[in-house]
Amino acid sequence: MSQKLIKSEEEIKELVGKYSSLIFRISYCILCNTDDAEDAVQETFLRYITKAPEFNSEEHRKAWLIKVSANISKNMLMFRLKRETVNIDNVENIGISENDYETFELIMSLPAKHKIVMTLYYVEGYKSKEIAEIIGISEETVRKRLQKGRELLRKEFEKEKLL
Amino acid sequence: MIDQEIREYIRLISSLSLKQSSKERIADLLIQRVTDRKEISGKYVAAASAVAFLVVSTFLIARGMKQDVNIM
Repeated sequence: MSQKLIKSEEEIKELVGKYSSLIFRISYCILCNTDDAEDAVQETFLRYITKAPEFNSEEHRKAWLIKVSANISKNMLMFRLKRETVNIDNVENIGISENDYETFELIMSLPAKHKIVMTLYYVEGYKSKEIAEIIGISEETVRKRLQKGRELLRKEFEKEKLL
Repeated sequence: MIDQEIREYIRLISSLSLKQSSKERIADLLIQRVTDRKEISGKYVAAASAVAFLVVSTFLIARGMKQDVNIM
């Protein structure tokens, strides 16, 4: 499977239809902003179309897209942090109900490195070893980040209940 | 306890999805950007061909002129 196979408009549309929500979730977890996450999705696909290597399987392609979108989003975040404060989206932009919004905001307040690992593990269903390969860290670090992420999440939920 | 929090995490993050209109817009922008790149690439090839043609022509003309005046 190669990027050279991406020739027609139909192939681009199919690619966007298949992977855009996955890439959007990863990017949103890092950037906390719909417009920026959409830009990251677009940049990821553009890089795929113009530079992607050959892939052994569909899973390999998916892992490549996750890794590239995470890197693009991190770079965008660094660029943005130098220039402005980060504002989380309002409820209308992300389609989350007002009842859920406080919980969502609390989850979004977790550090990005924990959110990525937790999202890949719990939401996308990857194993620790696979996550380590995708984002280029050791399996041990993945486990530590998962553990720390869970701890932080629990603390935040407890704090929320006390308020 | 943490199970409930994790379930909330999964539920809320899973609900994040691009709207259909955003998907269509992104696909259109990508098609446009890919088309633009192809056009720019085509223009570079045409320009490079023209430059190569001019260089070869100049060389051949110069060579012909030198032969005419018995330099070569």
